[in-house]
Amino acid sequence: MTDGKKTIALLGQPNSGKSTLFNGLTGMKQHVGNWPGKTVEQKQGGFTHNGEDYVVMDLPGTYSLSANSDEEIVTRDYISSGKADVVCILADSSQLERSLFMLSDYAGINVPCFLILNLADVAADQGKTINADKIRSKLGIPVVLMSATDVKKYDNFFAALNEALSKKTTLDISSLEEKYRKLDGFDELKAEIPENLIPGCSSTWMAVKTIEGDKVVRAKIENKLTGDSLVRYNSHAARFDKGALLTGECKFSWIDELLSDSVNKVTQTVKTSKLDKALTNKTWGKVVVVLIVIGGLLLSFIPAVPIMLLGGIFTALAVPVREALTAANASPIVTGIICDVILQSLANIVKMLGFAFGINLVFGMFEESGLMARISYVFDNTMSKMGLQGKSIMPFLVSFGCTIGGASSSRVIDNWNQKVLTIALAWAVPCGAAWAIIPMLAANFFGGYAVLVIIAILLVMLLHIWITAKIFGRKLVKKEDRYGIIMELPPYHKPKWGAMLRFVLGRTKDMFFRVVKVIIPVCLLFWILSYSGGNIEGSLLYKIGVAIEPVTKVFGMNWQLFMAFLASSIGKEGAVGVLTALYSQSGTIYGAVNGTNAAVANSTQLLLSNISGPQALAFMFAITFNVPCVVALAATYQETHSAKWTAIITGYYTLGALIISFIVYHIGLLIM
Amino acid sequence: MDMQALLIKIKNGEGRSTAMLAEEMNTTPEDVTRTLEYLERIGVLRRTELGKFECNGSCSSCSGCSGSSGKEKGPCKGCIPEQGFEHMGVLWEVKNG
Repeated sequence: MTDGKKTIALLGQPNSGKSTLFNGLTGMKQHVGNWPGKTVEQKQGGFTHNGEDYVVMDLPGTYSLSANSDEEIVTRDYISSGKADVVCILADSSQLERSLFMLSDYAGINVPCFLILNLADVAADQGKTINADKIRSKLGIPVVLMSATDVKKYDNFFAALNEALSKKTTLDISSLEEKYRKLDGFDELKAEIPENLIPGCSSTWMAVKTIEGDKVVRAKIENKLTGDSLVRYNSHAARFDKGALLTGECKFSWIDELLSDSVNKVTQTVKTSKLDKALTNKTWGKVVVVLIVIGGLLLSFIPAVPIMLLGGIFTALAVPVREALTAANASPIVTGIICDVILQSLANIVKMLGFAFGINLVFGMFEESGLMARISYVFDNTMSKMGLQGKSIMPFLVSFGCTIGGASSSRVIDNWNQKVLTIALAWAVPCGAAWAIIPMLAANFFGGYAVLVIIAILLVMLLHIWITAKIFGRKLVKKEDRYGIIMELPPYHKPKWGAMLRFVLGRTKDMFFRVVKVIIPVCLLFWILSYSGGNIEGSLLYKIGVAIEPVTKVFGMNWQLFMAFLASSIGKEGAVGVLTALYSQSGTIYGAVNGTNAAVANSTQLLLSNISGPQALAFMFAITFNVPCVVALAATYQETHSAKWTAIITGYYTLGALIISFIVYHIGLLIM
Repeated sequence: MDMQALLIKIKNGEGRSTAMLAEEMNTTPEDVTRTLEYLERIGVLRRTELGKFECNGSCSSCSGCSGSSGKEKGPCKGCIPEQGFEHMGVLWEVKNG
């Protein structure tokens, strides 16, 4: 009691409507501050009803009365301090099975209380009928079904408040105690704890908290017990291992019994949908997922095609521009830079963006609809077996857009070894740049069979991840560090097209600026290095290329492709820049080697006439599984803080890319 | 629900959804969810919001991160949607050791 005013403490879980009731009762009479010595907000207010003044204390929203957080400690200490004349416990009527947990945790505290089943309107909308009288008869305290938002209907609340204050109603915990008593050792433990050893708390409540391993309660009890009693108390307490599991079961079981004949709800038989059954099937799940991904890739070609055609405009533009510049007596170097570097690069960039847009759109749809969650669920199982945490999904997902982001997002993984393993595996996920370049090259070289190339890359990605996990995992993740998982699959959603298109367009725009920054300078550099002016032996690049070609051919790449492969280590887009430069038309190695500066229709035809199918295939695999880019390498170092592991991962991927290229080239020779 | 039995099931390393677990444990998904939440609160399970991306914008070297350059700090807009991956669900995990 405060200055003759009755004090009401509002207790409940977050979102139980405590603040709504507090505001409804106090209106503008509120004071907000902090609890002494804590950074927890303290809200106090007041109201007058029937000439009686009341103080209302809005306790912090907590899930229980354990000592897991400052909020819980503040709440518990306040209740046991005796400052409150009555505790008003709030529960969310729309989810009583969960929100009554606070009531079950309160059971055994002797401060008078009453129960508010708030959000009655939401429960009614859900088709629930709640019999408050039945609940009241089981609990022995006033129970009110109401909606705190409806301030004009607080009559039942005031009636319950008066009853609780006048009769000092306390919770009947006999049925809950019966459940506790079935726990082996409960009675013996309880017998050692005198009632009210902690003010306002019954020996049952203190015994339950002891079983749960509540250090604060245990310390208080140990401080007050002495001699044999203390020894026996500690001996009984030590018998409970993972006691919170046992008491939790008792509490939930008590709640279920309380509600069993008090709440009628529309029973929804929850059955796993056919699609979910197929996706989560142990045998066929992965196959179904792979088929869905393939379908998605096929779909992504649809929006990509018109954008690819748009890229052709730049190629077509090169012919009249070249003619115009020649007619204007422009320098061959200027003509070459404008037509072979800038226009050819822009043509390639726009074509790449077409695929980037298509793939992002389709996979964005997968994510928005909830399908991506199912896809990742299927592979979670595998990830868990590889020793990765669930959090590793994010770096993988982000790596599909950008490996740098993937490496940075591994920051959320608290175990260093698992973080390194996650980054090492995320490197195997083809990034956005690869997803732009590879479909374009595949479509150029293999036409309609491009999809098969992409599927093969996806399968190799999975194999790569598996092998890498085996190699790195053995060193990095011990068996005891592995996790078991449960996933709450979200319901299927209709995609929010506006937000999704904004993301996809934003990502495409980002990619445009990013590739422009890489492709044009790289293309220009290699164009200059390869500019021969008709004397090919004078070109530095030609000399280097001829010298290394015997080695590069082993991996299925002529020296031009190998240069592009090396450039892909700086950034995947760099590979396109190098190819554009080395196979451009005038004044460069290509023009000199071919003896003419004949107007070849476009760079695609140039590539087709100079690179065989197996070589193209080997090159695509090599750049896909090469080091993602130098910035990803820096991000890896930044996250792992280990030059050693950054170097190991870099070396592993460079070597791995060449091995994959070698294998793919020889398979290509066999099948083409 | 027998929480010990539930934990043993999860620890076998086989991934499962809450709906599947409810079927296996012969209970409702709501019961599974409240039990998982409880186990999380007492520190037995760890909850991961799969859609949440905790990039603090410090990856300034990422040329694709429009949000991390200059004064504007935040998740990489080029890497993830504005609201994160909203529909990726929630994952609970328990350490096997």
